[in-house]
Amino acid sequence: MTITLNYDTPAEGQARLSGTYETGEASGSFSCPIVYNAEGQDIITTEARTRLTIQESLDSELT
Amino acid sequence: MALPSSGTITLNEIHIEAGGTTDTLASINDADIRALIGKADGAEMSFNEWYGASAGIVVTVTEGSNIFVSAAYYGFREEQNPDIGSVSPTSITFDGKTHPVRDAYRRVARSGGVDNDTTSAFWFILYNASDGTVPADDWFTSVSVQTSGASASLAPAEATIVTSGSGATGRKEWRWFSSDFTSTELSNFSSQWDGSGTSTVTFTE
Repeated sequence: MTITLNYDTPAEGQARLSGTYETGEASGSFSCPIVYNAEGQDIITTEARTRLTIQESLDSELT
Repeated sequence: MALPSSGTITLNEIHIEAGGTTDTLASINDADIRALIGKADGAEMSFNEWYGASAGIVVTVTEGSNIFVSAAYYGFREEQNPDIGSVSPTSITFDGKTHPVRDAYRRVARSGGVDNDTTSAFWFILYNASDGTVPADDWFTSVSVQTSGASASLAPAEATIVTSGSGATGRKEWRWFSSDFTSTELSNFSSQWDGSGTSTVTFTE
């Protein structure tokens, strides 16, 4: 399942990321904590956690 | 509804907030009344300490199990037919709107027929109100999830929140990852939310 996240680039120090998502069959919105590491914002991990949540939500009757 | 933040406050009001029946016998040292402000048995207390105190919104989950090849769910799942487990009350009211409870469960990844409890996550899902009103992300300040012998306090700021659909069938989901729990909380959470018995989820507004 491809999940596309749409959001504005967060400012440094911003606590949460908000935006919309699309999967082709479903769409909605999300809000999640931004993960920080020693180098600053870890957007890859932040996106991964959000995609996982959306996927597990959509797959929850199947898996 | 929280007690008033100022003015006159009566023992009867405190008793009702604690879940008691109006004009029935109560003492300021009753356990349920003390619990509103976190006081120990016999501790010194003043009536003004109850200003703004609230018992919160308590949701009691009678747990069921919903086990698949790669994941297991323990708690309440209205999305399944028939429902997995049950919940009381079946809807909660805040900000003037009533929202049916869709799900409240521990989700855990599963492989080879064995749960990996270190992946335990807590999900709480509400439907929109009948007029389509979507609950606010932060309608609660914290949620206390019962764990074995204790509880874990979670905040909306830590949650990944997903909104889907619209109208009365639309929903909002709050999900806390295993990393939002301490290792002890995670162990106790897994022991408590095992598909049997009842567990409480208490929201503080």
